[in-house]
Amino acid sequence: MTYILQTHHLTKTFQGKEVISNVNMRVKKGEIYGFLGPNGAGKTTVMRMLMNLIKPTSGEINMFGQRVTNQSYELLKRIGCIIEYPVFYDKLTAKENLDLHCEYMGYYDKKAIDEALDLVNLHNVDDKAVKDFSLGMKQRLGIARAIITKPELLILDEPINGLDPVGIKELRNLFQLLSKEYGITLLISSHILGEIELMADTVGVISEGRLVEEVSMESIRNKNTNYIEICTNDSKKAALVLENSLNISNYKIVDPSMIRIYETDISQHEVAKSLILQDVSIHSINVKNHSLEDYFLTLINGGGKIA
Amino acid sequence: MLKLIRLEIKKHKMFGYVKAAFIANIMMIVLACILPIIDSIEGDSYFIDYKMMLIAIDTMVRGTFIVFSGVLIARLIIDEYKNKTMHLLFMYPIKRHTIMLAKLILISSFTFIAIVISNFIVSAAFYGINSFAHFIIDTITMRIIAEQAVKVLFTALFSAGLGLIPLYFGMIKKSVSTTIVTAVLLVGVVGSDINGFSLFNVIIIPVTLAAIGFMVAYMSFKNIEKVDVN
Repeated sequence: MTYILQTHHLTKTFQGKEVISNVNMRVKKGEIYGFLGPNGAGKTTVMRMLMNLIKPTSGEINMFGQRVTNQSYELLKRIGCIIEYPVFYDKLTAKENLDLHCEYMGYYDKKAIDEALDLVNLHNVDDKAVKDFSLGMKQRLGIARAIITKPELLILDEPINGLDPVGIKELRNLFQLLSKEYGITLLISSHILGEIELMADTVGVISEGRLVEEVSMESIRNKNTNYIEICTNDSKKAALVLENSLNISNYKIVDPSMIRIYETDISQHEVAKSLILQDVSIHSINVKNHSLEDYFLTLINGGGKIA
Repeated sequence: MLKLIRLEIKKHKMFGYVKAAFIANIMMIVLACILPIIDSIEGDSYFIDYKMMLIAIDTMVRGTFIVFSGVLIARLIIDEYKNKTMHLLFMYPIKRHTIMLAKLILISSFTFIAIVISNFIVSAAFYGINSFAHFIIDTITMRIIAEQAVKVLFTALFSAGLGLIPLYFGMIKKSVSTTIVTAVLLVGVVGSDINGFSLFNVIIIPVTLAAIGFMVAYMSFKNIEKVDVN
């Protein structure tokens, strides 16, 4: 497996307080890596270290097979990024900003400017200074700037902030296109579970500066279990029925009025029929999915923290 | 390096500053013409010959462009930190040292060139106007011109150095106002002229200050490769 980016025991201390502890992350070449965590978990700090803006207190970063040092400037040519929120020379127009970016990056294909603006669907902004842009437009322009030089790795910090639902969908498609068609590796941070779930191949979950899980979406999907949830007036009696009439032992009495069946090869219809025949009243019966959200909230412990 | 300087000129629209420098020149020409008039109204006999006028013009020009230098530091460096566009620059595949050096070279060169050219423009304009308005009655000699030219070159060089001192104070809290106030205070200290005596004329003072200026500039980015950009 080729990893385009790896960190080993990455740690950052600010004024004696450890804000990033021992982070070992591995981003495979060509994948979309979702970097998930509540606000303030340390996503941006890790990304700033990756971009050489702040220096690790200990641990190391490897990119494209090389160790990142204070002098690793050449590596930055191969990366496009937005950290925190996109900043521009806001008295200049969108094109002037992109032109400057290309000059600084040493990229001289000027056609790429229009192509990038097309890809992010930013039109008719020729004479407008960036300071008059909406947050969503700035976000699009930031992404245009990040992708203009066709980097091998894209580091995007909360790229969908400030976008409307249509914009979010457009960008999701764009990220998938960049990954599939151009073979670009994407590291995308977000605190919005649903978005990461829809895009990512691998998810890294960070909480309080620690990487608590790094797992492929595929395996999370397989881990998730379905169950039948029954609300009844007498769950003990219902349990007896399940055991005796249906031979089900994989169930759990959640409380006196609720019972969950984890058996997968039994239908709702059969369960309902048996219970009614045995005179157990049913208030409701549903097939539930133990969602990804539950999975992550457990990881991050204390669901209220998810913004 | 030249490319980086060119990009700085482009993105900060430096031609606007050139325009501002010309406007400042016009105002200095007016002021230079008023000086001998006020002098005669008040009955002083201070600005009566070219030698004194050229000193006065040089002092004015120097003061103006040291403040200008402060403004440029505020715009090109302090503001870029405040607006976080410096983050953007530091994420490019270019050494931070080189980026900062390009900015400082641009600021110092602007100050140096502006002082030399403005001295020439204001002095020439004053000479032109005086030849028919007769504010002062004196003839200019090649000797005065030559002496003044050498002096201007040196003061411009010193001013380009000491114009960088505000960078140190401005960088402490990344404050635009501190930068400009420091520049104004500097002018107040070294530019004030009391009956022909100016701190700037005690040769060791401008030389020391210029050295401090260049040193401060160097110190301000000595560790820049290693520090966190917040």
